[in-house]
Amino acid sequence: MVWLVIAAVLLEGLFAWLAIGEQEFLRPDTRMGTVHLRDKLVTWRLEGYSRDRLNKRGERDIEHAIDKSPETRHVILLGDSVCEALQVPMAATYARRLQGLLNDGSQKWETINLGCSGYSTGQELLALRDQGLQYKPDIVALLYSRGDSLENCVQPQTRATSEPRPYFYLGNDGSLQQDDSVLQANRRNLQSPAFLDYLRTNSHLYGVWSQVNFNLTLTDKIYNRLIKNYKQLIARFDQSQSMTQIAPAALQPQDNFAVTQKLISRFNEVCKQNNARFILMTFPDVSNLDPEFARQVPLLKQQAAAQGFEILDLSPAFRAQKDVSKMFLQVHFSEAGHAVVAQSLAEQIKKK
Amino acid sequence: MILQKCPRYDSLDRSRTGKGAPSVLFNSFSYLLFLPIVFGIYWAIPRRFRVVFLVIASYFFYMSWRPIYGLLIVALTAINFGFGHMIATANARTTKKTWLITGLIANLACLAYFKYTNFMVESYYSVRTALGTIDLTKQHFDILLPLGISFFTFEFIHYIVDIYRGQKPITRPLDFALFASFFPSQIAGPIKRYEDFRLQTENLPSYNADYINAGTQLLLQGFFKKVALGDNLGLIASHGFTAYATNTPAETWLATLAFTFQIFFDFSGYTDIGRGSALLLGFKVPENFDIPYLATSPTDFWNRWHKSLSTWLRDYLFIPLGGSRHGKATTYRNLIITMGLSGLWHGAAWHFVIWGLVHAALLIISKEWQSALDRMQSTNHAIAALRRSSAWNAAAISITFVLMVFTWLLFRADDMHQASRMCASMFDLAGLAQGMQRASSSELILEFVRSSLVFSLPAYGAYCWVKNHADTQAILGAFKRFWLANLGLRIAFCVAISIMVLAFAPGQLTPFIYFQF
Repeated sequence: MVWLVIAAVLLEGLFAWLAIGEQEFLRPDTRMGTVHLRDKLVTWRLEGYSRDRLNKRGERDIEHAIDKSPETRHVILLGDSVCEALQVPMAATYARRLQGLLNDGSQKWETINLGCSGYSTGQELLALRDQGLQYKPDIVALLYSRGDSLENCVQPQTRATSEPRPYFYLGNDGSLQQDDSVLQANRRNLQSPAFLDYLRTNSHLYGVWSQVNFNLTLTDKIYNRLIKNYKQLIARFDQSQSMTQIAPAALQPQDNFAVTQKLISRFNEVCKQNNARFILMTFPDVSNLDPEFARQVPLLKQQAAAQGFEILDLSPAFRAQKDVSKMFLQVHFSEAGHAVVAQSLAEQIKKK
Repeated sequence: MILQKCPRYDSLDRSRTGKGAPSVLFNSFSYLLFLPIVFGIYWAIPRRFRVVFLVIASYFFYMSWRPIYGLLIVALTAINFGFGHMIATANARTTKKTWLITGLIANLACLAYFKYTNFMVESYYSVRTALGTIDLTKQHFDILLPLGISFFTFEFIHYIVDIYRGQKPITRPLDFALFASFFPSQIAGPIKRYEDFRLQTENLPSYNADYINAGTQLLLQGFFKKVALGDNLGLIASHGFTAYATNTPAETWLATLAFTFQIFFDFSGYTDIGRGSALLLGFKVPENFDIPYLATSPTDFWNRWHKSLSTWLRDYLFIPLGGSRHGKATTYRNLIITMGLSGLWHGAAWHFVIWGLVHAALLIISKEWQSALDRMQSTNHAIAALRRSSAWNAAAISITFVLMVFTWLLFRADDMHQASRMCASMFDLAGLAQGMQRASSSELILEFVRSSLVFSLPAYGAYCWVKNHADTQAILGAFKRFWLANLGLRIAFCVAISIMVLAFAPGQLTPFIYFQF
């Protein structure tokens, strides 16, 4: 046993030196499904490379003061992993670059990145309410990506295996409603013990185990089957699923995009109530791979015109680049891609 | 199994081996379940059932990829067992020869069909295109390459040829079935010799703690070499070879060196895992590598690299062609044929053949150089002293290593255009100096520096030095006694190495390079 402890200590030191096992950056949360760890050094190698610390509020950004001086303007940036941008160093993200581009005049700008991997538009709305509004934003910029509309609703046939997160649906009167039933059904798993949070934040060995578990789940059929069987066995003893109350309207099949548009409308309303400009950015569609996304963008432009918010389609700016492929790593923006986004957004902001 | 997105191997594998490698890949979770189960049952069951159990386990291992191809192994096993019996029992030499030739044709036809059909068709169309008669109905046959076919076919050929030469055949069908299907060496060698293997199946050893310790050490060593070293170097090589057109000379050197060591760690790591697995079951499988990059000449390199293949080529191709018994010209002819076919064995494409021929040229030049030195030495004793010096040895190792690096470039490149372009880049010394100065902005160099290789490569180098350096053996002796007396330390060490292997593994599971052969 002593030798195992010595080995563990030595391995922790070795992995800390090599920055291995530092890719953990999320923890389960009963309200949001997942949230960032706080004050966590993250070394990301899966796509691109970065080594930066999440700040004390769990934002992938430098530390920001909540209060702002009269001459300071706050820009809140929301989105999923594309906005969070673990694939590039923090200084190269469009959030950080945007601050530099805006701070060329008399006004002082601060950009705050609230992007988080895997977030749906609904989660981004809740993040704005829970975290973003405390900064009294002047501008809220939401990045809408391919596939986001599929994450906002849970369809009846996939409810049992859906990602634990808040979902949304349209009630019988067409109003936007929040559906937390999947969160409640997974409450036990989402209540993370303190020691586990400590391991996630501080232990490289835990990080290695977590990464191996993730990789094996993706690549090994037998491992995946064993884990699923284990989870099903545990679920048989978990009564919370059967006790979860689900509103009848939530059990109806939902039009994903209609719900998404309602969420965007809600964004616009929240921003207006808080005297903030709302800018919706759409992910650059340079390869026409997603016909559904291509269908959605013009509809979003119509919605923007009708409801009076700004929309920034990033496609033209990207298509204008000499080598579009250099704007992306595998799926996410490269540093060059982030520079284009920052430039485009800065120009949009400066229009008014 | 998801294959790593490596352009060259992906295209080769998808066209030739289908949609994946065995589910029970050596470096997979499934194998970590499979091996202990096999180990546990093997030593628990009575000795008389162990061979049949291993046959079943080996077939399970192979058929986890494509069950239908288990029938191929069964058929070839039965046919070659039959040929061996017919050769051994035939009275007349001519009858023996007839059976031998029939057996050779059957094995080579099988190999040719699965591995070389599309190569022959594409070559035919290339010739027609070159002659100006373009055919628009070019055929491509969707033939799935059975894993390990190059290896077990060679084992079958060795078997029937050795029986023809007077060796005794294996009389028990199950022993032969195990020889043909033994899972630690079935997919990617080493190419076994049946006489050694038969002695082991006929005299199955008892449980031996030394074998278990040695087997465990080899397993850990193999996993470390394959996963922590080979797979990470593979990423560097893959990125470097993909971006070859825009790489600086420094990046080209890095990519080529990365592949040079990737293929060694990948293949020798696989062999170690196979040998370790075999040792856990009480079987000894031949060593396949002997620190090949410390070779002092191309000849020495082939005595150290993939030894089971080079000895097979020597015994069943080079020597039957006449070997070196009929003068220099014939010797060199036989060398060219042997190495050319060796290249073709490695891959069904002309640049593999060229790779083999380049090695033939290097072997010939090396032999001529050694002959010239021997002649000079007879009249100049200073040359003898020089050749014995450590400086000469170091120079010989360095030159041989650089030559091998260039041959691996040829091996890895997608085509001759890429190979020649990268080669030219590597000779651009001015560009190399500039590239080194700008190393901090090179993505490829940064990728290397940020990876675990900065630790794992020197650590492995230190391990090899300690293992092979005589001076350290005295120190090791004292430590070894402490080590063997302390089970807790050994367990902790094994756990630590295992965790390191997992920690250093890149994101995706990568198959063994030699699977494609």
